[in-house]
Amino acid sequence: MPSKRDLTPNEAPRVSGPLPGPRSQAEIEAQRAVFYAGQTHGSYPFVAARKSGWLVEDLDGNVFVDLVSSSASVPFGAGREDLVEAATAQLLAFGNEDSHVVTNPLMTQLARRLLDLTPASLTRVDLALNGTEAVESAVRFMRRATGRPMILGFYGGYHGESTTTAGLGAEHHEIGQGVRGLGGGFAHAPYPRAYRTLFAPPHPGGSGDSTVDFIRDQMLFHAIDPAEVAGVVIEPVLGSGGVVVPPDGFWNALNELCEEHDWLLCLDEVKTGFGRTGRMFASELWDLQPDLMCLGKAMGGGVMPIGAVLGSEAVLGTFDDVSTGSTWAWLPAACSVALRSLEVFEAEGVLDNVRALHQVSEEVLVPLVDRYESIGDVRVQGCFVGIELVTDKDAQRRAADLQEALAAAILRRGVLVDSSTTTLNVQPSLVMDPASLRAALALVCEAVDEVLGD
Amino acid sequence: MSELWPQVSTPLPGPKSEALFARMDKVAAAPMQDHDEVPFVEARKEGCLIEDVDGNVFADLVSAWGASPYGTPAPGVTDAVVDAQRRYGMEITDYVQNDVAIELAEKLVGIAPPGISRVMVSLSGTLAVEAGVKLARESTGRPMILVFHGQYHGEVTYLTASVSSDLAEVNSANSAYVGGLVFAPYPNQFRAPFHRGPGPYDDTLYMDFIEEWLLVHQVEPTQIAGVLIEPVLGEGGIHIPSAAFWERLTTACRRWGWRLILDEVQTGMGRCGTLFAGDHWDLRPDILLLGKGIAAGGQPIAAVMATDEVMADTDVHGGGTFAWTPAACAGASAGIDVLTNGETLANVARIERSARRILSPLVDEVPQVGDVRMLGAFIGLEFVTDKESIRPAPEFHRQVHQESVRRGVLGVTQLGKWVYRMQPPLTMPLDLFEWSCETVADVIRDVATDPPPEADSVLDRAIPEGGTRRR
Repeated sequence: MPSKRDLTPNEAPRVSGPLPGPRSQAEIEAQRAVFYAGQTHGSYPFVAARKSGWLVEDLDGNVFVDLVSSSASVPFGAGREDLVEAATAQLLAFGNEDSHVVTNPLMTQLARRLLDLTPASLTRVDLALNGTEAVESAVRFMRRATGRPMILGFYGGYHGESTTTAGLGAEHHEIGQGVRGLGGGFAHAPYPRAYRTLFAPPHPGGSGDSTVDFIRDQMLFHAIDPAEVAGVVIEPVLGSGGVVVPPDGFWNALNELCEEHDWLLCLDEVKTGFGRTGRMFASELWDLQPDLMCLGKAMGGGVMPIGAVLGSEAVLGTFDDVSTGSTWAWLPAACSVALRSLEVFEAEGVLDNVRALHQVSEEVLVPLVDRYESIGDVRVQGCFVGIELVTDKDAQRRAADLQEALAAAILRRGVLVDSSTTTLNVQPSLVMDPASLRAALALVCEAVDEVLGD
Repeated sequence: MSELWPQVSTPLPGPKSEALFARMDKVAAAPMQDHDEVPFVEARKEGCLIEDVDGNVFADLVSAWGASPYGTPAPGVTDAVVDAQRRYGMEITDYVQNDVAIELAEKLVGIAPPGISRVMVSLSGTLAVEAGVKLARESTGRPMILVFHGQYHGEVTYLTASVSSDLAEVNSANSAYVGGLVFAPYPNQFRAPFHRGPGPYDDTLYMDFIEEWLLVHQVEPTQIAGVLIEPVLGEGGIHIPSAAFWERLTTACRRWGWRLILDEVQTGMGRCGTLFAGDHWDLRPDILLLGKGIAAGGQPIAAVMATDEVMADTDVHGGGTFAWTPAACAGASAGIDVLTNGETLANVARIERSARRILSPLVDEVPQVGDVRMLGAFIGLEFVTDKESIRPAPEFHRQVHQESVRRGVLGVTQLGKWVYRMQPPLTMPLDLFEWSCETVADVIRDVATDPPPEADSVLDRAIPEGGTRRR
């Protein structure tokens, strides 16, 4: 059993013996016997006993440093009492309540705060239980507002795994399995990227961006009438798909295309929102003025599930006949903790810390590109890092097996990272002490040398 | 017939054509009211010439969009059609079988690529595509079909309009409602979407795109039932994939169990110099779709052909009341005799040689001729603003066509595109064909002396006065 002592915030990870340890192994076998087979096959080879801050202890007493943050949904570490209390106070006051029917003042406060913090183009809010539900609603709003059926998504984009969101996203083909054949209404372009791009640099006389040229000259010319397109759903910085920051020129070109054809721009900030990229919202990086914005994950402070769709007056103020959300969207407790966590951002200088963590990641990880032939690219944007492994620098072919081997070597050293479709993603807690991140990344570098060194 | 030669002696449209157009516009649907691209009303055809109601004569480089490959009247075909019509009248071959249909089925299997062993009756290329997709899905139990941008497979049914990506508006109001399709760019060696400037590009790049992007991010390979592809891209501008591309594609088909569905509606039956265009690369399709030229200038008919594995035990019905009427079968059957008589394909080879001699040098001579591509009697000239940027030049293309018609050559054009197409009857006499090429070449030189301005984007399709947006 795990030790009774408290986990101290800066203690080093320790993994004794192979994973899973015997207690975890027994638990994993018990899980495999009762859960849907797809539930367990992607899990880490240990079972957690407890978490504290950015540390995880498993049933065998192994301690891991968490650089995944529950898929970037736990911004301030686990078990912060002030946040938990913000939730429990409202759970005691309201219990669970369907905020679509019995409303409360916390909702209004939260909606106001969100509108204050997000781009000026956004004037209204709709409730959602999580990011997936926010995207579901956004897609329906876009079709309702324009009367057009098609939505443009991007290769690499992740928006959830429900039927609509799996059809819209295209991070990994397995996510769309069984869905692509059933419904139309989505088309996909490669996500705009500088590294491992398909495209030549933009040319004079074009839109200013090669991806937008492809959308315009290939997709819109041959396959999709622009007048049938309701709009674009895009992550302002690609998240699970590998921390890709669109090249300069992309947003201008995309905005022009949207304007030309009256398309709506919907930003999926479920993962990028609430400080992850070093700004409160990634849209600030380019001063984007979207028609819609989807929020989720970290919005609930890592304590309660909550999401939101924000929209312009034209989209969310002109009709009321699209019914959205589900019973547990915007529980009073979730609203309360969302409000409290917005206070944390201001009171504790969280964004400054994110920038400090950015510095650490950049100093430690970016030089790996020059040191190892198989590390094609390292991209850092705030507390979002993508390490892209390739067979060699010239071919830039993805090296999925190497990536898995590296992820395993990192785990053996007691560090949790996310081995995603095309990258190893590192996404620490936004309030992690920079020295602790540096220490954890030193272990990552050690693993890199073990797997990729001569 | 021998004294007839292209000559245009009135402005176009001539007065009689003008009067007929006016009558038509009062009763016809909008798409039939565009008289810009063919500015005359036909009175008759003779051999490979078209005469209009005002007495103007044009060389026919359209061949009824490939459906009249042997001129008019089609030798042996027209008589066979009339005879069968007298003998059987109209018959529903799906229900009452007849000897001409059986003979045609045997002949088709006889000339088809190895492995293709069975035939399903069909009425048109569009319906053949419908059946081909159903067969691929049935025989694999999988939903998805992989298709390529720029292909054309019909536009009157939801499925065929959706698998078509010739021009976006062909898909208008359709594509959003049909699932089960994924798209990749067609292997275009001249204008690669992933590169700037003119090719030739290694078109295996397009397979890299499919394998490293589309299959990774968008669709699981084992969800794909088949690949629907034109062996030479027709409406999309005569693009001829390389042997290396076909090797990569057919390897992927074998690896993932995808059915290879070749749409040879336009390219088959001799158009590309061989019986089927896929013969150039020894392609072994699982499903082969035929239309247009199979009718041989007779009655509407199409065929879906497949391997035993796909078709020996299928529940798919591709026919219909008018599929394979005895008259259509008799004409198609006589057409196969013309196609396989040795002389027809020899003439296609002569046509290709002449076209290469007269048209290909224009690439070096005229800045706006970006590329000249052909296979057999399937010829395309791609117009650009200049060789460096290779920006599309649809307006230049339009003027070339407009002036060519006025000098007596009717080719294939479409508003908004920038590839001019020539597809003469396979039996066109060489003197008429070479005269047509020389005439078009002269027109191109003339237009190039004062090239028209082009829109910034290919999506900004100029709408000519009196014309509609559509063809």
